Amino acid sequence: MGIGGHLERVRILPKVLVVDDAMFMRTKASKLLTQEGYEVIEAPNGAEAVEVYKAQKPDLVLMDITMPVMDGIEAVKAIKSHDGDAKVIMVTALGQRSMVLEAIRAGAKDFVVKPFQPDKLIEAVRRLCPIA
Amino acid sequence: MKDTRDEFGQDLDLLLAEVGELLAVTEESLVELEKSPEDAALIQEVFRVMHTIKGGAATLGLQEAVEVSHGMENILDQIRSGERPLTTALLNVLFQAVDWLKEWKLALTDKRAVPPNEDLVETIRLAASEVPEKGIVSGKAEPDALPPVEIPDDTVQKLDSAVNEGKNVFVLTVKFHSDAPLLSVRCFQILTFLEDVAEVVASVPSREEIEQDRVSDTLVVYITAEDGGMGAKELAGANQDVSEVTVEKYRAHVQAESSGFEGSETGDSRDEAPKLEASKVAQPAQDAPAPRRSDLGRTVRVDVGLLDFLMNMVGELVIDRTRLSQLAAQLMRSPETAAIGSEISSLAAHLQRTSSELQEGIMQARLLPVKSIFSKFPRMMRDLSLRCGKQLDFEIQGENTELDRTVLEAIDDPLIHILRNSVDHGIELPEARVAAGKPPRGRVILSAQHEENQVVVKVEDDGGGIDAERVKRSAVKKGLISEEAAQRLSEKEALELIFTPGFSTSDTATEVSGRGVGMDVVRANLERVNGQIEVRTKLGQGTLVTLRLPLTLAIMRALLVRCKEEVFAIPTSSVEEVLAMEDVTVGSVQGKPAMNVRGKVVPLISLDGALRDDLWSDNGHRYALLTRSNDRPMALGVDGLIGEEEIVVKEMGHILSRLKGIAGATILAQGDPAVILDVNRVV
Repeated sequence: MGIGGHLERVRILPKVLVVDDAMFMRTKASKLLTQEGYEVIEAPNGAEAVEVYKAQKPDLVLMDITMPVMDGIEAVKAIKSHDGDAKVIMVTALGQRSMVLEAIRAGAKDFVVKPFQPDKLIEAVRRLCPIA
Repeated sequence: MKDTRDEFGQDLDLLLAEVGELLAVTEESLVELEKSPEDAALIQEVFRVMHTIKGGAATLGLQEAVEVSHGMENILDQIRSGERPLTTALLNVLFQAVDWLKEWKLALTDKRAVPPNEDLVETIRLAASEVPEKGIVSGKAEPDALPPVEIPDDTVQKLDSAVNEGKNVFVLTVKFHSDAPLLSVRCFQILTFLEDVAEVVASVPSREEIEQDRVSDTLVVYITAEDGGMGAKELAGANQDVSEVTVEKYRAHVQAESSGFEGSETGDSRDEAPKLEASKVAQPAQDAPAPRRSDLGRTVRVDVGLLDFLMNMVGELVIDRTRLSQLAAQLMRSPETAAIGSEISSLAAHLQRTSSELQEGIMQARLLPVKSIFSKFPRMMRDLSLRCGKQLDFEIQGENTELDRTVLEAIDDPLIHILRNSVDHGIELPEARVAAGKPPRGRVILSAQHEENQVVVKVEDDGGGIDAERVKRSAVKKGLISEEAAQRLSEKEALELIFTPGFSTSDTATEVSGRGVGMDVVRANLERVNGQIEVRTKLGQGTLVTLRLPLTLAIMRALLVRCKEEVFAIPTSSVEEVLAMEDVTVGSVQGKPAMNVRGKVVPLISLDGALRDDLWSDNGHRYALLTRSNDRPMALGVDGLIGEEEIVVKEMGHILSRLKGIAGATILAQGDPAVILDVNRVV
């Protein structure tokens, strides 16, 4: 394989921002998405997610709901008001029905339920943010 | 590198590490909640932690922990929403749950069977069911099911009038998988997004019903669209949990369900799913400004073993650098090679800067806030004081002070012991305190702070203090010291007795403090990490225990000395003064060598003699190091001084490390190994 072949393989990966206060969940999701060919960045709460979103403009956000400092709903609202085209998938537990509803009203595009099945998560991410 | 473990094992390790931290936080919050049960922020905090643990456990299929954390979450949710107050009984259930989770974590860490949770789950269930249950129990909230599609009259009217206006109305029937979670939210999502591509005339169930969680596994949406409803069909089909989408034309006065309509079209939504959204996907970041790395959320967990390894490697670099300098010096001596020598010399200088920054960086990475061990103490102190019938305010200061994690580990048990002592022996019963003119609540403060190159951890109580006379009596009774010797002891020396093996002031070991370890073990633990302990007490007023700890163990300043051709490194912190023998008077006391240092008589011990267990031999040394062994002044005779250096401490095999007086080994700049002395244990 010459240099050309090597260069061909360099391309910019779609960037997904994973927001969760649980490091375990972030790591789990990051691992899955990295394997699928996404670049993953992380934030441990809503407030930092908004900062990271503004700074790095990821192609997609995976957003937990219950978090310290700023919860996922507020974060979706803040991100949407900064960038109306932002794509956010909520990651939710079953008991949070009304909150997901609010998130979707605020412009979240989709939701996946925790504990997420890997293929469901990937399916949802791919749909909103396909790998070229 | 060492990735032989299965993925589940790695995930589990990661989860358990996080759960450990979360539980520590929870425990602290619960103790706080006991004082202020109305604190909404604390309740939310504990709720959030339980939620997080549940999520993690569920992801790995750890059902027992899911049940417990879910139960706690339920109770906390009831409290959070104001349905019920946080009572002591509830708090106790929450404490029990935390205890179980701690057990559970330990069991998984040690690869043991997880503890049974039936009793606890039952307790939690009972506690939670004292009020009407909310829908989230077991996560399978069953909404009031509606019959699949029965168009309400007003909807029919709406549809008919739309048709009469000449609009093309289509019926979009969306069927969901039977196990689809949060179905009403899914319906809401689809309905919301359909509005982007079509005009929604009506839906069954209606938007209001959906918002109230009244849905079934079929959603019917009536839309008007120019494209025959294909865009809508694609959009709805591109959704998780959707099993089938059909579109058909609506005919006035006819139930949408009837089959046999022309234009009816059924298709597996999955085949044609993602195109629509795909076309709208944002352009990849090509023309975006160069990505700026954010430092947010960018942490990794690293095995301490790896850090130790890196530190060792840095040590090697330092040695290479010194050799390089020596080589450069050699080359520079000869005119032919002077140029290359000076080149190498500047290279060595650069290497020095780089390696010391590297060293600094790795040391930083080994630091942890003391919080990581302090956080469990509030709970412990609460339980202890309850058990002893004492009232206690426990306060932590400086919990963000950082320490090397090996040092932290080494002070964990000692602190437990000291804190237990403060409650058990220090703080008096409320009546006794009042009688002594003190407030009934005792006070214990645990603090940590930096002082120069050390971290000082203090445990201070306002209890009864330690009675030196009682200590003496106890020591005599236990045969640790003779009656006459005891009489001669100063108060400070008497206090020293509590560090003697086999000593314990309490005549009967209580449930709280009697754990078979004494202050002697505490001191030994501390000395292992070059720490020092000091106890000060005022009878009737309280006790202050001070631990002085090095910031890090991996690297230290040491005095290099020579004794009989051997080079030894002695931590600079333990050398008080270096004296030339010719400047002092050496005599003998009771036939043993001693020297007079400004009027004080200090025993003089030969370093190499001491290591051969032949303390008093061979006193032809040129220098004496003034130091302390077991808190008593001592002079150590050596033959020569080499200088002070920063040394990298290397672990020795455990056989060598058990040798008395030896703390470790290091490699000197010249590449030769040297022994690091533990002065405290030389004698």
